[in-house]
Amino acid sequence: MNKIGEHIRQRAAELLESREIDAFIGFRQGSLPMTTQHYVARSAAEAQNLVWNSFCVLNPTNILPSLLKSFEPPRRPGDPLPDDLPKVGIAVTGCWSRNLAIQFQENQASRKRVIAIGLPCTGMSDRRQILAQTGEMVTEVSETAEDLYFTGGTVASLKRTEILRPNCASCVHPQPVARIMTEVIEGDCINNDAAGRFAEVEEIEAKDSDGRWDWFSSEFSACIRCYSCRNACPLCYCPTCFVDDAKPQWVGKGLNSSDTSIFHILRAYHCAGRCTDCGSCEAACPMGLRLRLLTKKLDKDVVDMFDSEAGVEPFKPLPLSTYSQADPQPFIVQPSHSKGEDS
Amino acid sequence: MKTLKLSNDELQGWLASWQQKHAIYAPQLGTDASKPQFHDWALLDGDEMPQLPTGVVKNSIKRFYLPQPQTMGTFSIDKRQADAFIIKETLPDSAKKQILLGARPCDARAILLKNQILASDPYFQAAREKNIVVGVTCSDQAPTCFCHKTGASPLAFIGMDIALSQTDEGWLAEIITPRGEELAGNGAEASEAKIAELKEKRDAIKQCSPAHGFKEQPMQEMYDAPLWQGLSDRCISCGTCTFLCPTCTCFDIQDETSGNTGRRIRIWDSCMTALFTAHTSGHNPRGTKLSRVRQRFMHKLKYYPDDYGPLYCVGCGRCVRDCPTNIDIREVIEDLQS
Amino acid sequence: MSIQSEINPYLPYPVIIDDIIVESEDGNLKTFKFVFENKADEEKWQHVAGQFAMLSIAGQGEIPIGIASSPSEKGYLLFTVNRAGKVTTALHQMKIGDRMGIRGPMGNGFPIDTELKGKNIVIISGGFAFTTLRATLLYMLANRSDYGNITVIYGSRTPGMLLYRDELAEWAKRDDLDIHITVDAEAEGWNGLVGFVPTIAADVAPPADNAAALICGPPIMIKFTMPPLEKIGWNDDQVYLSLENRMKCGVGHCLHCNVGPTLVCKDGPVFTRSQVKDLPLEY
Repeated sequence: MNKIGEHIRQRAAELLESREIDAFIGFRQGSLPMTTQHYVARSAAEAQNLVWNSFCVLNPTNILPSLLKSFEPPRRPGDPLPDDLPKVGIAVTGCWSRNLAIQFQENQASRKRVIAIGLPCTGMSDRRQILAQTGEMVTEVSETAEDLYFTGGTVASLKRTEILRPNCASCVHPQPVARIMTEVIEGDCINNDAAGRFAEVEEIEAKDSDGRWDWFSSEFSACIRCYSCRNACPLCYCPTCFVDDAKPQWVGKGLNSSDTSIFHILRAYHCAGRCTDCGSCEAACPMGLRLRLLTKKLDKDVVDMFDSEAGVEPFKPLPLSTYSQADPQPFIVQPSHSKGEDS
Repeated sequence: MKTLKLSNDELQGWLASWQQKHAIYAPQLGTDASKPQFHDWALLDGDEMPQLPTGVVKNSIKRFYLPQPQTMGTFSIDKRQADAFIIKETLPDSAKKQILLGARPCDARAILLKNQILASDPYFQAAREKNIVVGVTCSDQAPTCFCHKTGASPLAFIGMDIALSQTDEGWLAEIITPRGEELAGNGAEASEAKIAELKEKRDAIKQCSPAHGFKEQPMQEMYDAPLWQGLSDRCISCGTCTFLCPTCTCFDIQDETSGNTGRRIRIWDSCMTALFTAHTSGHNPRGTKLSRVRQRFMHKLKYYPDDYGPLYCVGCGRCVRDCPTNIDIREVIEDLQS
Repeated sequence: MSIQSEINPYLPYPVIIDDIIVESEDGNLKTFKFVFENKADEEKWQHVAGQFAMLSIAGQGEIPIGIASSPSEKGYLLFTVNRAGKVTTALHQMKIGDRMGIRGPMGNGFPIDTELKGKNIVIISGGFAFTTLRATLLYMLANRSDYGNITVIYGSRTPGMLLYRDELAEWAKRDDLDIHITVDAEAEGWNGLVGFVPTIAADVAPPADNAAALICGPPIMIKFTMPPLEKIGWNDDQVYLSLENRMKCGVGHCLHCNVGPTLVCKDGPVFTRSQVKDLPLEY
């Protein structure tokens, strides 16, 4: 990991020094052990602050569109953008590179203006999961390829494989999407068995309808409606989210469970076929909700029905923004064999 | 002020007698093992003193003073009713006391700081009547705690009715207010030596509590400080800091109806969202994320201190601990001071 | 058991809509006349020109609106409301005889009984911001001897968008009032002034000596009105402005309306221009 960090710093510094890019998006060390901060380096000197470790948990593509926009001159609606706008560099792992692919497809970022450096990924860890084991008093953390070591905690070390975030532990696309990378840093990647990738979802699917509803109600009852999950997500970029609309007001603003449910169901559906299971929503949630289980279920459905995974094929239209006659549509057309049974 | 010395059994005796008369809320670990485990406020079932983690629990005691949501009044929208569209006040029943057991000094102080703003708010005042604070001082600080840098102390009892401090042999109970007096059970007076020891510790902490110095700093200088840009680059406007903050007070008022009846509620609002200041016309005085990030810190570090003296931050560190992008108010304070 | 507080600033006084006047040709501006349902509430109500109140419709919400009636008008309250958001749209759909609520009065109002007394006053306004200035003007006319010369400059986009047209005509007849009504462009049937408010102000503004200006209107109008005034010696302490920020409680608790250290609802909405200049640009 240290080698990758060194590589990122060096390349970011070179790109900034040569003025090929005006800014580089990465992470810097946070103020607490096991935290990092999104960081925009704007000079070769600032690039030296970039770090790479097991706690880079927030998706950096989330801040890419607004950073690109900040370099655009003010203009009237409909006026074309100048051709020679500054470029931005970004270092991305497998899931983040798929988000980049979606941002290109959905016109949230221009491919011409992004220098993407692909990173090998061995998975990230969640600070709060670790603190639950070590206690809150950890003052320092160091890591090797296999282990994390703690100072001040009730546990001296933990194996990285044991404290991977669940999305990383079930990730089958750790490699960046090569076709949209400008360059790739080689290295070891996590290697998960694809067979068990939807185990978390299958566990809930196995419940009966009441059981699933009980799970859902209980899981989301702690929500405080802060919308961190939405704000940390690179897929959520509507200028006005439906929960913020006042005219009409689609959803109540209190903590009524039906309002909270509607928010979470709609948020998940808006991510269907687009979510890369990056885990940013869960990393951001202050209440520790397992938000991914909803989006992961939709991932599974999209794989089952459309044989498609978000961003994996960067130039193929997203399954839910295109239509084909071969699309599964049992809700419109009853399969012929069931017709007979009905009559 | 009376200071009593209690054994664990004696304290448990107090709790048992309180249980008879009052609802007691205390920090407890969630019971659902499938969910993330953290301590938060819940109704206390037994009469045992709950285990408190070092530092603060997930939420502050704010929710007992500004419930989320608070019903301010109810009404009918049925025109056939004589009282249609008249809002009927629903104040918390302040005669029915409840005990907040295990509130930390930072949380207790936060309620007093809030009171400067909400002195004429009948709902908040009724809640102050209703809630009896049996606080527990902090013998240790967590890595995110910094109350001693905000003009407070981990051993302070300000804002509490009874302050419990853990000792080697059990507890020291300082009975601070008449309400505390009424609530306290029997116990032996603590020895002069024990009382002096506690005072000595308090004095030692006071020594390292510096003045914040923001009152003397020109407003415009802080307003134009370069750090806001870097903070807003990574802020995701979630407002977790404001929700978890024990001092953040801002609220929204909304009407909810169901059938022919409705209620006017107030719910926590956050200056970190664009909607907070958006006009219907589309004009937004704080339309940029930078201006909103700056607003939160300026309110805590400049606007409030200019009006009332202390920082509007009690150093509980909840925002530091749970900010998804690791915006650390301690760094902001240091940066602005330098 | 219900518990009642002695003073709850969140509880609206019940009022009945006594009259609705459509003010503008586009129908988006209506003046609502409210009467109190309880005599006791009416007696408690005491406002100053320039203050505002929360109009409260149970089930819809509340909206802060400047009080358009003068304290000298007894027995009713007037509010002129532009239809824009959820609450104002609901209000525009209400009918004479309907019940709703009013909380207030709120804010400071113009210093009409203190600093403005004995001075020459110029009122400058554009669009539908004229409402609290109507209250101010009526109050001054009711206490005419307390003030020196009174000049009114009021403009709107078209003649049909002018508020209180009957009253404007009455005021034009008075010889103790210097009134200039203007519209942005020539219009059929309009024989009055044509031009933007700042241009007219440059022509007719009185000397700065012993004078005060009360200006309410769109920011762009205020911006361009100031240079001609400054040219003839006006300073920022003589100019009073009224700020509008989003607010929820109106009584300094919810902290929605702050502009830096200042709360528009409590410390304002009326500020001198020099006070406003010391504030961050968050209004």
